[in-house]
Amino acid sequence: MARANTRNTSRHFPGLATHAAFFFAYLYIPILVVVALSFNENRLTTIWTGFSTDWYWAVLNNSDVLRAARNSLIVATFASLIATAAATLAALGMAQGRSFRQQNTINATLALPLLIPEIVTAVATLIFFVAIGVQLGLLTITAAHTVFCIPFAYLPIRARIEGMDPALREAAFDLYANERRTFLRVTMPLLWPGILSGALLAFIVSLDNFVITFFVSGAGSTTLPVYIFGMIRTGVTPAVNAVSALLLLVSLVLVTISLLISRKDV
Amino acid sequence: MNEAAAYHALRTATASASAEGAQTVTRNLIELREISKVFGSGRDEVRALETVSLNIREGEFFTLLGPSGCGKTTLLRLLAGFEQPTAGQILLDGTELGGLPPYRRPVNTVFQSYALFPHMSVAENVGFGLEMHGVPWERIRERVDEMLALVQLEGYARRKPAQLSGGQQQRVALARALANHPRVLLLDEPLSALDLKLRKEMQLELKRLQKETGLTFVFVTHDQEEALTMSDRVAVMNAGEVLQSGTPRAIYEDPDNRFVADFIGETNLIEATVDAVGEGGARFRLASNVVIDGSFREGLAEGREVTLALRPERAGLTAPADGIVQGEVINMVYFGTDTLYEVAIEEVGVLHVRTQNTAGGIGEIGVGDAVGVDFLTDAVRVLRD
Amino acid sequence: MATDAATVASGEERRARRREGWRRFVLISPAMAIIAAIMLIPLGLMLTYSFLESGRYGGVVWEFSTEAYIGFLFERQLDESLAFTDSYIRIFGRSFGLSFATMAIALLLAFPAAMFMALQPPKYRAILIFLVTIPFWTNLLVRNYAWILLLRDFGLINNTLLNLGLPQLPLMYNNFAITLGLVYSFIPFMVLPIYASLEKLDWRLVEAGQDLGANRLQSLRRIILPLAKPGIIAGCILVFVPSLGAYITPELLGGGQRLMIGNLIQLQFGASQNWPFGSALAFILLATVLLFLMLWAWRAKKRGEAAALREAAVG
Repeated sequence: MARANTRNTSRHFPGLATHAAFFFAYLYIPILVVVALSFNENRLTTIWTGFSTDWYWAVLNNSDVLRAARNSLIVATFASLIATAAATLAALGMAQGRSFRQQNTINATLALPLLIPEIVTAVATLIFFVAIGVQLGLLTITAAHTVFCIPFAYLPIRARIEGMDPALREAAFDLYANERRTFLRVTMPLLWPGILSGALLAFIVSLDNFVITFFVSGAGSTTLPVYIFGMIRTGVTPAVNAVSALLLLVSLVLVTISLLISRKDV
Repeated sequence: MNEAAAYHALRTATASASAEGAQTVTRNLIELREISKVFGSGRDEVRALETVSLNIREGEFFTLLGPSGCGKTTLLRLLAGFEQPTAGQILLDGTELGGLPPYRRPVNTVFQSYALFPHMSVAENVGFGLEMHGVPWERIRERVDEMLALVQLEGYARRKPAQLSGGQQQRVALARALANHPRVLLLDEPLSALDLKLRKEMQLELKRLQKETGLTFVFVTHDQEEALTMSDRVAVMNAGEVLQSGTPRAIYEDPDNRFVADFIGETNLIEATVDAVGEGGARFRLASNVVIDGSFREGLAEGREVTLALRPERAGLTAPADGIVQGEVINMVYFGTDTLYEVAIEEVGVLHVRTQNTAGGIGEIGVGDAVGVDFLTDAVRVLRD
Repeated sequence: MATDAATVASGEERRARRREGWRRFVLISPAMAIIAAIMLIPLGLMLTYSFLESGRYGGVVWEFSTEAYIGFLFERQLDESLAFTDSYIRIFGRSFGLSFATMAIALLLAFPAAMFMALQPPKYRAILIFLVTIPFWTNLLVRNYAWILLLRDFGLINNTLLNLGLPQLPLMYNNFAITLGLVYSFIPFMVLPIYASLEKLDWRLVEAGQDLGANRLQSLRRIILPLAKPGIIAGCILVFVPSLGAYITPELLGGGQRLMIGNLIQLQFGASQNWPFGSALAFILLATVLLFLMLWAWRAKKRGEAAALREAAVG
């Protein structure tokens, strides 16, 4: 009660701040542990004996890791580009004119890849590729990734379009710009941050995906997460920590850029 | 290029037409012929405009006034070309505009939200229309400077819209529209986002710009005071129809119907029966059997039930015996420059009377006092409905 | 003349509308086509497969069979008679139990954290949200692997215990480890919707409640919780659904001994080579998840309509 004078009592709930501190510690300590141990000199990952970047050099000189990383980058690049292109067109289409009847159905379908459990998608996609007789490899992985990348790319672009004053397009028409010039001079420049942000998010989820990739990848088309899974299965080594830390770093950088872009006003 | 050519053809045609018609003051620049606009269909059908016909004259400040949802903005969007009418014709200088997209119409719009392109500087915004026409850069730069001077924003050319205040953005929006020498400037509630003081300033500014440029302004507002003070002519709209159009004075002094009388200013509506129709005037019997004189309107027949309109400031209080009708003051509200009295009149209802608080007024009147209400024949107007 | 002009104009209007519809169709088509071709058709094929006979070395034989669904509940004896077996039901039961526990624990952890976030000044809120979203965007596999480092027999926790002279704890390969990993994997999905509903909450309502004599606990129970309910329900669904289909966490932290539905499905396409059974399991999982989502959507819609009605009545 003595505190009532100095604090806004309706907003003060005792213990909240302590809980929040523990909560964020819980979120971040495991991640930090992986990063910290990746610099551990010792072979036995959990006994700290000294700082070393050897494992990073070992990983970066491991041709299997490099091949897996290259595969991951190829898949993520193509999947995110195709998905972003399709998502941009879809978002522009959904923004055309007034609301229409099939709007909810289309929005639900575009969100479907987010709602269906990954394992189900993985199984279905595997069956599909085997049934139509396509060799499992980078092509099948990219195709499968493109599907679940679409909603991740679509949502930021759609949000951007929805936040755009429809009068801006009309103003361009009013100032003698035809459809094409309005698109190039007004719609696209304003949409661009959303597209970029969506593409980055799609890139990240493709890069990080394990379950679906695990099912539809064939021999020689191992991606980085699938490779890491194999490493973990055979035993915990500091090399796993180093690859994992690198993967975390890439995601962290990309998601930060993506969020900064999408927050930008213009 | 094709579009630019078409646009130029239309512009030169209209320019020469306006040169010929310059002497005739009442030449119609825009003619709306029986315009209807329906949105949606079936159960969702909304009839936004119902056979509206209007003429807007060259060089006038024309205002579309009405409550929200009355169709005034739809009408403006039809003129701009953002919507196509469901039925009817729009003529600009006698040329049909039907089917022309907005970018081929020699009209420009100032949007309610200003709609300044956030990724372009002030100068790029103002020069956008000229750039789309392929006007050479030096010419655009000159015109942009000219326009920024006109709206008193010299030195702001390189700023982004987000770095400007609401009032400044408003001026940029005006400059951007005016830069293209439009035949008509359309303004969609452009002042509604500004605070009261700035709004008053911009009202004067808009009037000044209209005088200086001599352009035809079509202005949309729901603010009756704004409409009365700024316009040459006003069209009052409700539920997709134009109820009355005319000068602000005509609309205020001689409202055609209940809606106009009620929407613009305060008014007393009195039910009566036509008692006699004479030369230039008529006699009306009130519910209390008192007979009063009022103005004449065509089509009045003896025995017809009518509604009379009487503006509170056109009535005065007198001693009971001197008034045309008698009643009792039931409430009074002091407004500084004037006082509003509510006078209950038996069988007729409550009349509002506004009197100026001048020195040597009508002495001390208080609640409960018996008074007479007096007015000139001229002040009593017959409504059509 | 006037009617002529009217038909011309309305024709123009109709043409504009048709053009708009056509353009929309063209723009939306690519995304829809990709999803249809590489998601909807495969799902249909999966359903078909669940009604086929299993091939000897994986794949299927194109013969209609309900064996996959029968096999879910019964075991075929040597004499072809059916005996009830609960081994698969048990795995489903465990999956539901663990998912439910995950959801409950995540709610308990997330709600106070979300409330803390909602009570911060706006400029800190953005940073805190960013901190909650980051783990979501980092690799799920790596985040689960991190717990191996912490929980295993000579992991960080047990090493610490040893150093303190305390006995080691069996932290890995049990339900505890799986639940912990699932909570860790999906907790951002719980925090964000709860935060979203708390952030919109008008704190003057809490003040009004306290003005009327409610203490902190009472205002939490009677005012804050009811108003945060849509966010809580959304968060619960968003945690429960992916937990149910989880594969990585039970695989890594359950050590392949404590199977969940996801692992059982994977097994049918791996070691067991029973594709129809795997398809049937996947379909049952999908149907369960969609049922939850539909119930949620239906409820939200009903509430939405009720809210609209209330507004209409007030306005």
